[in-house]
Order: sequence, then C-alpha cells, then structure tokens
Amino acid sequence: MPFAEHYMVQGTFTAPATLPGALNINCGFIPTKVQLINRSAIASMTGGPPALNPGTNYLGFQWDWNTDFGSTVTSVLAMAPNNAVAAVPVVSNGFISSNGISPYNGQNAAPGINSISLGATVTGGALSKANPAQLTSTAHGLQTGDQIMITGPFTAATAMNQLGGIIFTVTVTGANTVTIPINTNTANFTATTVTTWRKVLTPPYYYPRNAVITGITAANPMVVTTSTNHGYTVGQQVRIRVPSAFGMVQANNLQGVITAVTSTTFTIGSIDSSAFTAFAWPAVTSLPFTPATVTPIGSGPIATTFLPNIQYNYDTLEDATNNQSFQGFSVGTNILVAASSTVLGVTASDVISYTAWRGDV
Amino acid sequence: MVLNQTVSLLAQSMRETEDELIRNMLASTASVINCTGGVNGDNPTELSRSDIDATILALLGNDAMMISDNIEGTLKFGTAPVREAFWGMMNTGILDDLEAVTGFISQAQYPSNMNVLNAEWGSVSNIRFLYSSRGSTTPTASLNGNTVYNIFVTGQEAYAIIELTSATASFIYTPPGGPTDPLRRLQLGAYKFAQVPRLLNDAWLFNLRATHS
Repeated sequence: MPFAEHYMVQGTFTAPATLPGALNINCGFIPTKVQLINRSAIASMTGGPPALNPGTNYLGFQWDWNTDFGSTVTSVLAMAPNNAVAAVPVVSNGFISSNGISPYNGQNAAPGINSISLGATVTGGALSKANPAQLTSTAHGLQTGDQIMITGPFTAATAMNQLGGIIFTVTVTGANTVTIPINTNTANFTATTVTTWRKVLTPPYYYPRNAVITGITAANPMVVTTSTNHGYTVGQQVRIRVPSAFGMVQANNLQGVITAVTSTTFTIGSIDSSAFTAFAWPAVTSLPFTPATVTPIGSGPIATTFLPNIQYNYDTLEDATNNQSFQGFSVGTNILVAASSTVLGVTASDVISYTAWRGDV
Repeated sequence: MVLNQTVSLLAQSMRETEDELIRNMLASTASVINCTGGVNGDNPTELSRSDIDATILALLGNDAMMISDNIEGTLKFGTAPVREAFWGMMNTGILDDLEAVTGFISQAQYPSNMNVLNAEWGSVSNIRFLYSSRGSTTPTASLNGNTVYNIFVTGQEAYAIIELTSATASFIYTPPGGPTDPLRRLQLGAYKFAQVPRLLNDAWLFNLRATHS
C-alpha cells in the first residue's frame, strides 16, 4: 500500500507576450493532476462559456490533465466551445495530444547527468554576422529569456564554430528569429547558413553562476556582456577570466564589485579598461580554446546601511550559492498558442489560474 | 530486519544526494578550463598531460594548497612515488583517457595503499583522481556535440558545505499506530537535511572540461 501523500497548490501565471510559448510552473512537487482556468478568456466571453466564444477567436478557457490519461491517449483535455474547433492543436473532441500539460522535474540529478538537461536537436538556419547576432529558425517556439545551446555540426569549418557548446539567452524578434547577446560582426566570425541548437530545459541549479563572457568594452568603467542572463546584482563581487586568445589579457583574473546591471551585461565601476587590448573572439583556427568567463566570488552584496541592533546577527552569506531548481508542471505550445478562427488557444498575456494536486504515490 | 535494510539504503541515499548537490553546485559556479592539448578535434579535447599541467600551474599560481602528502617510494617492483597532490573528481566515462595520459600512475602502483581512497583511480603529476559513475557531465556541450566531462580539480578549503544547526542530517522513524493510523498499517522511515554547498575561493578550484577521445 502506498504511503498517503497529498498536496495541492494553486496560483496564477501569465501567458507569454509572444505566442506560441511554453512555461514551467513551480509547485514544489510533481503533480498528478492539473487544472488551468483562463480567467481572461472567461472575462471576455459574451454570454459566457462554453457555447459561445468572443468574436472571431476560439479562446480556450479550461484545460485538465491527469497522470492516468497516459501519453498515448492524450496529455490534455481542453474544453472547447461545442468542440467546434478541429484544427491543430485540437485534434478532436477537445483532446490535445502533445505539448499540453506535463510534469516538470527541474531536479533531475540522475546518475551520470549534470544538473543541466537539453531538448531535442533543432536544425535551424542562418546565424548572422551582426550585433547582436540573429539566429533564424523556422517556428522556433522560443520565448525571450529561454536558453539555447549552439551545437555542431556547422556548415563549414569556418562557420561560427567558436560558439559550439556555448549557452545563450535568446531575445525573440519574430516567430522565426531570435537574437543572442554576442557581437559576431567581427573579423573572426563567418556567417553560417545552417545552425543546430538545443533548448536548455533545465539550467544549472545554482545561483550565482559562472557565465561565459561574449564581450568586454575597452572603456571606463568596464562593461561585460555575458552569453546568458547572469542574474548578478549590484554589489556582487566577481572575477574575470580572459584567456590570452581573447586579446584583453590585462583583464585576466581581475576582480571587482558590480556597480550596474542589465540582464546580460554588468559594469565594474572600479576597473578602467580603456587602455586594455581590445577583447576579440579568436579565429576558428585557434580552436580548441577556453572561453572567457566570469565567476561570482565573495559572500554577496553587503547592505550599505547597518542597523545597530542587527550587527551581530548580520547574514554575511545572504547571497550564498542558492539552489533554484524546482518541480512542477509544464504548459506547452499547444495550449499557449495564439487563438484564431481555426485554432483553440489563448491571447498573449492572458491571466491563467492553475490548481495542481498530487495524490497517493 | 526490513527496517535495518531500509535505514541502510536511506543512509546511502542521503550521502549520495549530498554529493550530487555539491557536484551540481561546482558545475554551476566553478571557473572552467577547457582541455586543449588533445587531438580528437573537439573543443574541449580529450584529457592530456599539458591540460593537467596547466591546471596545476593555475592552482599553484593562485596559492592553492595541495590536499594530500606525497607517498614515498619503496623497494617494490612496479611502484612509483606519488607526489603531494590536489584532488580531481571525475566521471568514469573518461578513465581510459586518464590512463593514456603521460605519467599516469595507477593506485595499484602506489608504494603504499595506506592512504588510498576506495574511489581513487590513480595520479598524474600533482593531481590524484577520484572517480564516480555519477561524476559531472554536460551532455552534447562540446563543439562537435559530444558529452563534456567536468573534472573538478580542487585544493584545500576551496569549497565547503554550510550546515544549519537546526537542520543537521537526521533519520526519522515513525512506528505504526499514529493518530491517523488506528489500524497500525503505516510506518515511515525518512531522512532530512539542509545544507548550502558553496565555493569559498574560486581561485583554488577549477572545472577542467574534457571530451572522450
């Protein structure tokens, strides 16, 4: 007899601004049943669900998933208006057969596997010489903030091979295009016409993370660009490592405190790099090489004001390495797809309520 | 009897979980050095002597202290003295590449096995290597899409586990017959712990990344 174990959690999330999309929702456990209610859709329906829909778009307003549906039958039951929509993703009678709701385990510390996991290989198109570089990949399905790993094989021995194995955070610029935070409009890069990539499904667990540097300004103060959203904060102390192949050898092993941040850049106010050798990605002929990286050090940002009564209890490890992995469920691209007259979906930024349960296991 | 066996399994599970959390912290936060001295055409390449030397030099250049003392040579056939050493933690998938590195000494060739750990495979120069099938890997992360093996080479005091006083590791056993179990059907054996694995000095530990030959 299984040991009784019951959990329930509920909350809301917002559909991505760019559709189709996918989201992972943190429950703190792996659910066995999930229900989604599209509050925005219900609020907008004239006459109310389920018989009518607002205007010309078929808006889904409820999705249910239960672990015993089984992967071969259906993953999601969507309540469509009169089951009237037959187009993808709704196959028939409201069933969605793939990319619906599924369990998400971001703590996949399986034997022999690191804390990172990747999706299937996608064969995309061109990776441009530009700043930022643009990747073209038909119906990529990515969201701004998603991470991808550029991987081989490359179209030619000279084509952006330097980026093989590096993880980038993408910014979606269209259904078929994204940009990545690197300036490839430099002498040592050659545009590629076919680029393979894999989505990072589970990023490294821990914050603050080591990150690959894609650029460093020769300026005062020094501004560093990272290939992924670094997550660092003002006050964080970091160390820069720049192998000699990248030119700016004066920056190697320097450390400093971050004084300003954007999602993929940070400024180290104490470092004047204006007289440094320019930072430049090495040519393909320099492969193999170690990428330039930044490593968080110290015990994190220190408060600028101290209250006398907390001096002795001050938490000097407030920014200590933090496990940010979680378990929950995924909402896939056949739910978070743009609604139309033929497709049952949602509207961008719809507010969706969820309830997740875990029964006996 | 069953309870004792369960407790034994739980103990193993707890320590393996601790190790995996530390492994994942190191994979997330440690500075990296790509192997570049190999010949397999990938980036990183397979492990080579020049990569091991570069890592040792980097650690020494950062004033990292070695962990283990040297093992003096003795008059035994086929043995060789072992230098004082940093420690490297690696996946079993590239042990053959480690054996092929110039200067490799199997732990069976150590002059004395008094201070050899169960998981020790051997040494090269000033690094002694520990292996595990759960050693860190990053799938398809090389230039050519091959698995990257993360070898964490560490000196003394490079990282630590901060345990919380109120949440030190503990075993829990609840016998049948609790308030919600009047028929005495359910019992519980479990463990819980809380910890924060943390790099103490990033200059004293490197993630030496390699692919298979």
